[in-house]
Amino acid sequence: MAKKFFLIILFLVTFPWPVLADSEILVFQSVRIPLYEDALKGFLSVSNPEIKRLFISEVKTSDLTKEIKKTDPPLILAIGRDALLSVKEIRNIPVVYIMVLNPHSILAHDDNFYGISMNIPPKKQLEKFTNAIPGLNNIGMIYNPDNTGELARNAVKAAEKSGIKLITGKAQNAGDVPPMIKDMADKIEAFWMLPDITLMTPETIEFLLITSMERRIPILTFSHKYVEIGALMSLGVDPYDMGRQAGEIAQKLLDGTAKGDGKIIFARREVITLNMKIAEKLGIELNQELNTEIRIIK
Amino acid sequence: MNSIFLKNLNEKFSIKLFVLFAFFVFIVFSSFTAIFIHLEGKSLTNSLIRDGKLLANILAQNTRIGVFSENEALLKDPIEAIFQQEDILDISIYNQEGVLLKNKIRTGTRAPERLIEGEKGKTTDIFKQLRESGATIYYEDQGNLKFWTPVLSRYDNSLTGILFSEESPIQEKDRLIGFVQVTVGKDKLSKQLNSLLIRSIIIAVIFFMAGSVFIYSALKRITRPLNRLTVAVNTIGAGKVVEKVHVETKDEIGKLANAFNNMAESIKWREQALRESEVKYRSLFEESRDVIFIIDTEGKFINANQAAIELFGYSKDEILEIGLDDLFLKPGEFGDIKNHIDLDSYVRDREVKLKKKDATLLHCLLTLSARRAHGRGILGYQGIIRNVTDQKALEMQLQQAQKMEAIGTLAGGIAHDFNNIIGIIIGNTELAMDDVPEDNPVALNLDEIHKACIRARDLVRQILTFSRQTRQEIKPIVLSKLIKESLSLLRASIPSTIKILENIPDSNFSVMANETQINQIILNLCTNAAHAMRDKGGVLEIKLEHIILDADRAASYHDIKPGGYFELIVSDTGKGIDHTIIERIFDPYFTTKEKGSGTGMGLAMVHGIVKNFGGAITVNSEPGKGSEFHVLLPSIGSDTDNGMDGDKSLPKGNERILLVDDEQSMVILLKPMLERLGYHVEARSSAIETLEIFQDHPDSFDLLITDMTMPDLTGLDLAREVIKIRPDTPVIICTGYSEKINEKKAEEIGVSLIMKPFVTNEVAITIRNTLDNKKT
Repeated sequence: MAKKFFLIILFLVTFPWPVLADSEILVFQSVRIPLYEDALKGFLSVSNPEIKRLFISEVKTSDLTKEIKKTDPPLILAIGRDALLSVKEIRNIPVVYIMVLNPHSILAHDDNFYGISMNIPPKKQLEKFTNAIPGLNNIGMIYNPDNTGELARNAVKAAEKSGIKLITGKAQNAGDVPPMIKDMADKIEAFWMLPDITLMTPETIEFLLITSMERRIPILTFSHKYVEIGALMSLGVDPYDMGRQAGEIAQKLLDGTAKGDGKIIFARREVITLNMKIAEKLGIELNQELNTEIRIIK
Repeated sequence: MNSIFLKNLNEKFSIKLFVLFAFFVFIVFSSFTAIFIHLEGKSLTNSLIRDGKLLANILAQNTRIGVFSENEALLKDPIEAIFQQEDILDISIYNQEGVLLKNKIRTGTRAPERLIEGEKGKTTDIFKQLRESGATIYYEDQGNLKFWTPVLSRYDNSLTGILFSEESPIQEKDRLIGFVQVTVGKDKLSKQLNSLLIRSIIIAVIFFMAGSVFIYSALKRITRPLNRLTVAVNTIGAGKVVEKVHVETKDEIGKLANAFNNMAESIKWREQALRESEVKYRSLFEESRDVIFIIDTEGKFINANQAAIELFGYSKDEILEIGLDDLFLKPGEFGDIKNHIDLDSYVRDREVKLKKKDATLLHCLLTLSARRAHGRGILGYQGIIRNVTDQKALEMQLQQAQKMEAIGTLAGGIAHDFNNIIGIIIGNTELAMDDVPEDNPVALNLDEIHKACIRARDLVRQILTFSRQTRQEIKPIVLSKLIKESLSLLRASIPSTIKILENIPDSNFSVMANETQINQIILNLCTNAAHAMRDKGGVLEIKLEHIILDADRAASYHDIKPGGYFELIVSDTGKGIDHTIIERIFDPYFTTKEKGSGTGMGLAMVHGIVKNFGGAITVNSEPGKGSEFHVLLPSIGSDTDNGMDGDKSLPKGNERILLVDDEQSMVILLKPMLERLGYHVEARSSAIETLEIFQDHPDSFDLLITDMTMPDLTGLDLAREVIKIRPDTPVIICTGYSEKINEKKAEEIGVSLIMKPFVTNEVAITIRNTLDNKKT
């Protein structure tokens, strides 16, 4: 027994641990929310590296810069949009980001930036929506061409192929959203909410939820959080798994084996969330045979 | 204490007003406070209900998504927001089936409504009611207010309408998705109401106190001038002088003070005027020469002035003891006067005879009127008595004067002719005496005729003098001679029972007097003495003495000078003069003789004549023993009388005289008289003819002698015409009686006068003097 214990100790001491273990990874987190915490857990689950967390909402930008210079980390993990914004100027340190919608709108270059896109291909989303809600023909969508223009275009293409009428509206800011929703309310059977932070502010989301409730228009969204507060269904990513994907990229980057990999990769695991109470209140019968992991809210 | 307050309340206007105002203010503030609290309480309650409804509606509005999604996290913030209100005790959110989604309870309050047995029925009813009405309902529960509001999903959303509308019924497309219940505690409301009540009461009390103080001060300020006015009025009421009340304001009080000051000033002036009037009338009353008196209904004197005392001889006290009726000579006359007043209210200037205390008769005018009190009849009488005794005497004097004037007129009328007749007798007698030798017995007869004619002439003159129809010629008179002549004339008229004693020594001293008036003195004094002795006889003694009056003795008389005087003493042994009337015996018309026996003018005339000559008259009398009159006349030395017994050698001349008299007998008498005196006489009986002669021969005459009274041309006019023709012509006018000529007038036109009838020597002297004066 004592011999075993000795051997284990010896193994631990002599094992060639990666560099990651030698220096701390600097983790920039936008806010302390469960979603981001899940993602961080997934990240850590890959190699359990030493990290130092800084919350963007709690420190100044100048302090962040000082901290980077002081610690000289081998890698930076940015969780959330604000975190990515704060490190977008970093050049000589690899940055892995997660939980950022439309990173293209932020990054001017991507030489040292690697990330997991939260976006799920529109075609896939449309397929899941129409499968869950049989008979769905007219879907509304509002997008900002600067942020989600490509996504919208892809969605339109996918809709056309599927025979779905996608009624879109271009909005430059959140203030344009309510009137557009009002205008299209009588024409659509569901609203497809895109992950565009310039349009989907708490106010517009509230308005959207109220309109959904009052006009019996189900909301199809990208996050189960919105489903919990009134959207009918979401097709989103798994933050934990997304964190794991980021951890794997980080591992490769630190190992130096990441050459040739894409700078941005899609999340590999989707989750459908259905709110059955909403479905009931909206009088919608959902098809739950969707070949995807489904979470039901009752 | 209580009685003092009641006393002040009864007596002080300011306290009454204060109590009234204070009560009024108390009622007002109490009512206001009660109404205010009631309304404010109602308002607060309504406000609480409105707030409760609003909060419930806001909660329902803000929890729509949370209720719709039945997401507690979404319900948390709206609940917390509402729970910020302190009076919110608990909040409960239900879904449309009534299942509690979330609730929050303030610590210390009881559990909210839950769908538990016992309460389920109640909430079921509420849910049913909310589903039907869609409006907020509330009710009071255990002292708190519970508000229930449905959570609606509205097709046509309008936040404002939902939040603030009292009624928000469910529309066709709306859906009820849940319920909210808000419990609002009334503790805060109760505290607010209690605080409001306390504050209102405190404010009311403060206002009441402040109002009371203000009202009290204001009333004191208002009543202070009133009190001053009261003091001033009382002062005036007490008859004291009051200073002006200070006027502080221009309001009604100020105007009242001004009015009072004006009134006080007016009263002051009136009192002063009254005092002056009282003094004036008192003075008038006291100083009036008329008797002013007040008597009662029985005639008893209540008051009488000084004139009454002086007139009636009573003292003031004595007058107040007697009555008016006691003064009437005729008893019962006062009763007649009262009856008259009862009919006519007054008597005015009623002639009455009153008697003095010494029984002296007074002729008076009585004016008497009743003093009446309003509604109480006659209180008495007031009157004036005017003593008209003197006026009465003057009236009688006037009557006498008129009588005398009539006599004088009559006498004057006959005197002219009488004088002519006497003149003819005297002239012819004198002519006859010239022709009859002195030893002829006829001469003695002629002499007696001549003397009798002279007396007759003097008698005519005396009559004329007495009747003031002739000039009072004052000249030196040998008094002893004149008195003797007068006594010789009187002797015949004095009864033989009276013995006349004359003690009149001859004297060369004269007095400046008028013979006729001296005769009047003798006549009156002797006649009175004789009258005093007419019943029993006695001795009438006339004495004449020449005395020297030194300064001391002169001072004992009134208004005479020291010097030589003749003292004429006329005494009798008659009944004497009563002491009570002795001071009045020289008053005009005072007489003790029976009516018709005397005029009362005698002694008055004597007194006047004596005073006129600068003398004095006194009387000593003792009743029963006789009287003695002393007459003092100033003497002027030796006798200058050139009367009949004067120089027997008549002045003569040879001048040419133009003589005119309408009486032919006078022409016949005068022409030889003048010729015997040596003059050349051209005589005419017509004035016109005489004037014509003179006009034709103005230088042929040295003197014109003309009668005064002629039918065609008076002697005066003739003299004027002659003087016009030849201014240096001497003229003598012969006149017996005429008002148209006197010595002064004659002197003015340069003529001489000679009074008819005249004796030869008077004519001779006058002619000679006139001619000689002209020549010089």
